Amino acid sequence: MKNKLKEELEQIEIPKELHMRAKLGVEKAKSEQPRRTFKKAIVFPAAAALFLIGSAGVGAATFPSFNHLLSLVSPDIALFLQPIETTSEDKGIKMKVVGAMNDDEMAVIYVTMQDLTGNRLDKTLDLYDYTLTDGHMFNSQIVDYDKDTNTATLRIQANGATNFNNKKIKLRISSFLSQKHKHEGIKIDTDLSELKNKNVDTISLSTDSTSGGGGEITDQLDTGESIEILKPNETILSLPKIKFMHVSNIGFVNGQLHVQTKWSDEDIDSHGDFYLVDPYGKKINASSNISYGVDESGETVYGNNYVEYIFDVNNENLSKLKLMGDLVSNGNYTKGDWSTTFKLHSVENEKSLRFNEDFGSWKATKMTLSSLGVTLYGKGQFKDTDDMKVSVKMNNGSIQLLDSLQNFSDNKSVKAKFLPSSPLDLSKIKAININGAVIKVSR
Amino acid sequence: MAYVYVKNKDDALDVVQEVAYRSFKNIDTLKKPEYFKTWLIKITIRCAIDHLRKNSKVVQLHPEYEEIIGSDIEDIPLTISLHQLVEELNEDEKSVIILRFYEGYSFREIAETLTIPLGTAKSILYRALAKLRKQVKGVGIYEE
Repeated sequence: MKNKLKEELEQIEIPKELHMRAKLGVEKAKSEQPRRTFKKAIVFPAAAALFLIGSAGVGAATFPSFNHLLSLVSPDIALFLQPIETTSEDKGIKMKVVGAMNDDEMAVIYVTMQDLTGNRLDKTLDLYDYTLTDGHMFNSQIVDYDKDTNTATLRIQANGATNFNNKKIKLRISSFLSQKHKHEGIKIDTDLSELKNKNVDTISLSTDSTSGGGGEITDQLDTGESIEILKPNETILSLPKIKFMHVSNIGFVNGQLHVQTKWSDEDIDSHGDFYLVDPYGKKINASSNISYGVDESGETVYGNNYVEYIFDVNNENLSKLKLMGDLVSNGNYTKGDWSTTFKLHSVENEKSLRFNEDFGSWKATKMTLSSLGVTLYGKGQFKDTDDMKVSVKMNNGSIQLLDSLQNFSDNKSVKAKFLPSSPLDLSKIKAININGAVIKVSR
Repeated sequence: MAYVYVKNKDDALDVVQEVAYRSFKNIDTLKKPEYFKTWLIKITIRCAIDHLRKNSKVVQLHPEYEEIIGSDIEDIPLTISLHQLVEELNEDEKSVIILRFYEGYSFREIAETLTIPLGTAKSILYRALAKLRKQVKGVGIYEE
C-alpha cells in the first residue's frame, strides 16, 4: 500500500541549524551537571553528535555500561547498537563488551577496559594484540577515558567476515600499550651540505628483508629489484632526551639524502616521522621510507628495528635545511588474557541487490546494503580504489557519500565495503550510485 | 517529527534543542537501552506538546475516549497527506498516526510509548482516521 504520509514526512527538509541546536541543548544540560569531571571524547567515529559527552546512570539502568556508551556516541549510531554485557577479568583489569552493530561483512564492537587495581590505562591506550574469531581486518580506537573510574571505552572495527550476523564470536585481547609520549619537533644536529660531498658505504636491500615502507622505493622493491641503503651504524647521532632510538647513519646515496634510524627492540611500538624544514618553515617530507632488520654481522634480515627515510633534496640549499623528527614512545606494555564470547545480531536486515559490473581488474557480481554501508562482492584483483565513487540517494533527495573504503581480497575473491560517516537508515534510501550507475532500492 | 506538532521550522528547532537537553539530562532513566528510539520519540512528543502549551496554544491532553472495536484499519486506503495531519488533527491524534504509519508501531507499542491504555490508542487512531476521511469527502477528493 502506498504510504503517502510516510513519503511526505520524509520530504520535510532538515534545517541546517539542527545539529547546532541539538548541541546547544546538550551544552545547556552539561553546564547544569553539578561538580562533575567531564570526560573528553578523544576519537569520534561519526559526525553529528547529540550526546557528545556525559555521565552514566550508574546502578540505575539494566545495562549501565550500555547507557554510558549511548552517552558517548551520536544518536545516529545509538539507534543501531545492540546491548551486550559479557566480561572477562585478568591481571586486575576488567574487559567488558558493551554493545555492537554489524552486518554480515563487518562488525563494530564497543568494549570497555577498567583497571581495578592500578593506573595502567590512560587516554593514550592502544590495543596491540587482539583478535576476533571472524573477520580479517581489525582496527581500534579509544573513544573515551574516564579517569575517575579508570575506564577506557574502545571501538573495534572488524571487516572481511562471512555471515557475521547471528554468529557467536570470541574477542580476545592479549596486550595493550599505554602511557604514550609524543616528542615533537626534535632537531637532529647535522649540516646536510657537508654530507653532500662525503662518500658513504652502502649495502644492498632486497624485498625479503623489508617489513614495510612507502613511496617510490617500495615500487622498485616490488618488481624484485634490490636497492642501496646506508651501511648500518657508521655515523651515530643521538637525539636529545630520546633513549628509544637514534640516527645510525646519514648520507647521500645516488643523489638522495638517506637518514637511517635504529629503534630499540624493547620499546615495542615506538615510531616516528622525519622531515626537513626550509628557512621559511616549509616542511619537506621523505619521498620514501623502508623498514628492515640487520643481524649481528651487519647483514640485512627480515625485521623492523631499522627505518631508513629517503629525501629528494638535490637542488635545495642544503646548509639551510633542518632535519627534524616527531616521535612517539610507549611507556607501558601490558600483557594479559581477556577473552569473551558473545553473539552479534544486527538491528536491521541486510538487503541483497543484483549488481553486475566490470571494473577492469575485477568484476562485481553482488551488492549488499546495510546500515553500515554498501558492500560489493566479486572476483578478480581489487586495485583501482581512487576511481570508485559510491553514494546513496535518500527519499528526501539528499545525497550521502560513502567515501571510506575497506576492501578484502582473498584467492581472487573481492569484498569491498564503502562506509558512510554515520549509519544509514535503510527505509529511507531511494537509490545507490556506483560510479554513475544508479541502482534503485525497492522497499 | 517536531514540525508536525508545532507547524513551523523555528519552533521545531526549539523543540529539538529541548529534546537534546532533556535526553542528555535523563539518560540514566533509560531502563532498557534497546528502547532508545522509543524513549527519544517519547521525549520529542512530550517536548512538542509542552512547547505548544507554553505558547498558549490549546492542547487537550488525554481526553476520555470511547473505545471503538471492529473496523479493520488496514482496509482504509492510506492517503493521509502531511497537510491534513498537521492541520486537521489534535496532538494525541498526530502522535498515534505518526507512530502507526510512519514508525510502523503496533497498537501495544503505541500505547506503551504514549503511556495510554491499549484501547485508547485504538480509539484515537479510529477517530483520527474518521476525521480525515470525512474531511476528504467534504472537499470531494479521493486518491488511489
